[in-house]
Amino acid sequence: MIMTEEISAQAIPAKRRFAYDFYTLVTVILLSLYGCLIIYSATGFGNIALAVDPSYFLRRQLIFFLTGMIIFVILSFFDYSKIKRYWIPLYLFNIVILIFVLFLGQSIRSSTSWLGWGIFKLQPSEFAKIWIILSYAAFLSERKGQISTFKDFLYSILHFGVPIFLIILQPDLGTASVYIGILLGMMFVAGVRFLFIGLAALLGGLSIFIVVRFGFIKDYIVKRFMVFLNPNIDPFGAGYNLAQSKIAIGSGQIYGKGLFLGTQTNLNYIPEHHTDFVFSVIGEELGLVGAMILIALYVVLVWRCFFVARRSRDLFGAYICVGVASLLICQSFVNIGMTIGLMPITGIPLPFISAGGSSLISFLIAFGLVESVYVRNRRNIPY
Amino acid sequence: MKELAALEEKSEVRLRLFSYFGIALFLVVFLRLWYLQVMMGDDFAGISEQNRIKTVSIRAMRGNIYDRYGNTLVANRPSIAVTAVPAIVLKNENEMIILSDLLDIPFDEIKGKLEKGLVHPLDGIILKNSIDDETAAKIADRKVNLPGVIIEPEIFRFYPNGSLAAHILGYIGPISDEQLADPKMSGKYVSGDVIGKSGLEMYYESYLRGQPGYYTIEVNPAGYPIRNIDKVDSIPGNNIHTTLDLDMQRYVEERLAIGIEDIRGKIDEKTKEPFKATGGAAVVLDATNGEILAMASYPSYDPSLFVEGISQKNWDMLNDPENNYPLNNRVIMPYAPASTFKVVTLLTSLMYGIIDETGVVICRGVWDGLGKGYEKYCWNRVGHGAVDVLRSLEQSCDIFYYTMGLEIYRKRGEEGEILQKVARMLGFGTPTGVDLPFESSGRVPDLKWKKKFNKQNSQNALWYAGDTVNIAIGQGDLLATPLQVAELYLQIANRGEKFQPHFLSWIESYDGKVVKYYEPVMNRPVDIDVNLFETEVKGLARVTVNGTAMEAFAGFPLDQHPVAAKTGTSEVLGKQNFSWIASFSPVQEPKYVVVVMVEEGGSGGGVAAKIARQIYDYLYKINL
Repeated sequence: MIMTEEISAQAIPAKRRFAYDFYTLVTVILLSLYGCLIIYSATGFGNIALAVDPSYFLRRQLIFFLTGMIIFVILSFFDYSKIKRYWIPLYLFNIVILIFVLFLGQSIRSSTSWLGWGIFKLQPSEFAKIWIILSYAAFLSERKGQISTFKDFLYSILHFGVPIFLIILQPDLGTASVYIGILLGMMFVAGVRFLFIGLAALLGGLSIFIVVRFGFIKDYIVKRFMVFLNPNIDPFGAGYNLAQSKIAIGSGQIYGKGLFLGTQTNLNYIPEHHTDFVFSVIGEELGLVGAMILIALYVVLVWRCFFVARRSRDLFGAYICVGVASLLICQSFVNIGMTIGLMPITGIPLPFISAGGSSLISFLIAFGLVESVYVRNRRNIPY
Repeated sequence: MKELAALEEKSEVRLRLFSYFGIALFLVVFLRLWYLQVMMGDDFAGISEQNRIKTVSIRAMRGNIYDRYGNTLVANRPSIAVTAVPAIVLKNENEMIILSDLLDIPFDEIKGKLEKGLVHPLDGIILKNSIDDETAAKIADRKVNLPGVIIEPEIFRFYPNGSLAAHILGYIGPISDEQLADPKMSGKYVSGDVIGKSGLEMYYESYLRGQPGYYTIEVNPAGYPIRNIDKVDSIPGNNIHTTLDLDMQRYVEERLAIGIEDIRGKIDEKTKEPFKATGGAAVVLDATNGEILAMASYPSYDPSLFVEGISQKNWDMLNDPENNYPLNNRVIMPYAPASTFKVVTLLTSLMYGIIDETGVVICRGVWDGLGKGYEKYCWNRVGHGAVDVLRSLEQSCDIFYYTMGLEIYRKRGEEGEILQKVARMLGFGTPTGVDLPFESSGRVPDLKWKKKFNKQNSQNALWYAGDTVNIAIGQGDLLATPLQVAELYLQIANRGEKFQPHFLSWIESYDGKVVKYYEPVMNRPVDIDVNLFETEVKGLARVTVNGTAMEAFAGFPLDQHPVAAKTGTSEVLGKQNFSWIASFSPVQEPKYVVVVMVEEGGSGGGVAAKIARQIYDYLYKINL
């Protein structure tokens, strides 16, 4: 019943039967293509073109998609368990990169999260999500997949706390909140006591209060949050995005205004409608039906993550899947939530859909790893 | 295969719980989407349309106003205005700095204007009107740096004759919030619309205004039009043709102003102080139809102060008591008509047999008809001796009219309040119906009024003989506007026939089609015998020859152009005498009615008569 770390995937002789989770493969392809279509609609049809060439963003996204798929396929055949023993260097590398971003990164929309030169730009915090899932999964697997002591709990907090702190400094509260989501999801499955979480929440709340009270957080972030709590306070300032996004989504009704026919988005009423607010394009043009198709695809992926996690024969693989599921649930909820007024406005992309290479490729890496866990653990098991 | 799984049982349970939690989150999203897209979908669809579609109204060009010969009194002039969209420009401090520099307006003023306009953040706010071509070119050059700034032509009211006829034309201004709240207005006007605030501009607002048009445009969130969907042209307002005579108007205004300013230096015999002469009024009517040829009120103001929005400083100046309220049109404000009212008393006395045409009253300068201790005096303390009906008008003998007043009072038992009845018949106590707003109805006091007025003080709530006696000489609580007095003399001139005084000649549409002609309003009081008017005319004709206006009309060719007149000197508590004259000419088949009133200007035979004489000089082209 209790399988320990020592029995790794390699330890079991391989059968020749080819095993591959086509659910995951097909779903990530569908989601990515859905994203390309929506990005084309968001950028290629506006009266105010975001680029000279209407298909500019579409072509870029397709290139990212192809790059990501190649990585996905390679990873799926790669033995993920080899990463485990390098988790400490991986973790440190992650921290160094995030520090690097702080000092050398480029600011976009008052948040310094980009690193790179010329056309080759990366958002390391997108990839950092994967690295931290890997390092924390390794951390958990070394503790038999359980956080039973307060010391382990503190280590977990520290494990996430350092990168979260660096990301808050960028400042990128959206990404930071996703990190917290991943931590909570993985700790939860690892059986953490609720008392610990309650304690941490109390301390967190207190520190947020102190930070806001003494002005360590930029005004616009506080303002955005206030607007979230009361969207009518500033309809042409900070509440503008939310108000317009709700109008866009609401006006889509059940079947939407039709692909490429969204007036709110095409007339550029919603800023960032190809990136952070891309969900409003789906809501407006494809309606409730389009939104539910997206959510259904997410549900399939979450289901596959849990499916693979439960059947994984090593804890490292299982926790990778749990982490990826947490990431997907948390990030999609925070993003969709902000466009429909359930969550404060933060600048995080919608998984697989938002334009941008770092986000799409990092999600393809994440699911490439899930696929790898499936392949490694499925191979030997007859149906 | 279960045996091979790495996760512990406990973690398996938690994993299951976690998946429920994930599903719950997605369910929350679904429910929220259901609320937004299904339950609220129609509402949001509507908002989305409004968001995208904006209606921009196109103001209609206001109609012009002309005098009787087609001279322009009010027209419109184009001007280039700089407007800014607050929602865009306010976000850009640098842009406001550039604008402040280019338009030479302090930064804070620009910011203040835009913040005030944030109620409709996508509607442009006018920052500056009437910019010159050079500034317009500079702004156009920097267009890239000035998002949300638009240069566009605006049309403003234009007064080619300056302040001439300001009280008649009136001024315009942005519609007030109270007016907008009025359900009669709200459908037709939007905030920022210009509306007539006084004078003909106000009275004929519905004709002058025209029909606004509108653009239906698709806009982007910055408020920039993307494409036109629909356009409905505006229809310019109708033009008003008035009965005014531009040259005569100018002359009358000049003479009134000069006459008043002249007397200001002179010493009042009664108070031994220089005349204050705080203001005055003059009106010239066409006696044959009630057309108003000229109407002047002093002091005056420049209506162009209001065109681009009046400044607080100017508004305070116009309302400062020191400046004697130049916005008031004194022709339609109530005053004690004084001796000009004596014709009504005489008419009443003749009608009710108190005196006949041969009757005589002896004037010894003092009268004790109200009893010992209540003596009243004639303006001429020496006394007029025997005064008959005609002489009573010629000399304006107060004793004669006190006597009449007392007799009229005594008749109240059998006949009622006959003096008031006749006064009302002749138009007192009701507005003349002239086509101007804010016309006073004056006041004809009677027992009923007195009771109401002195509710708190029952002693004064009675009607005494002295009240009738006071009214008999046009004093007491009697009030009439100079225009009502003019209307009275127009009736006498026409031996009872009454025409409503008016400015309107006809209204034509912008393309020259007649919309409306003035419809004459004429009537005559059936109860009054024409011969009684003839008697009065005879008396009035003597006023300029031998009577109280003799001095003022010295040298005037009365043989060719006989003028019938009645002077008046009204006593106002705590003030110097108000000077009046009401007149018409020629005596037979009268053509003109002229009334002049000067506040705190002394006796009627003085300044008012002098000004009236000058007006007749003009009318008959004498000594010009």
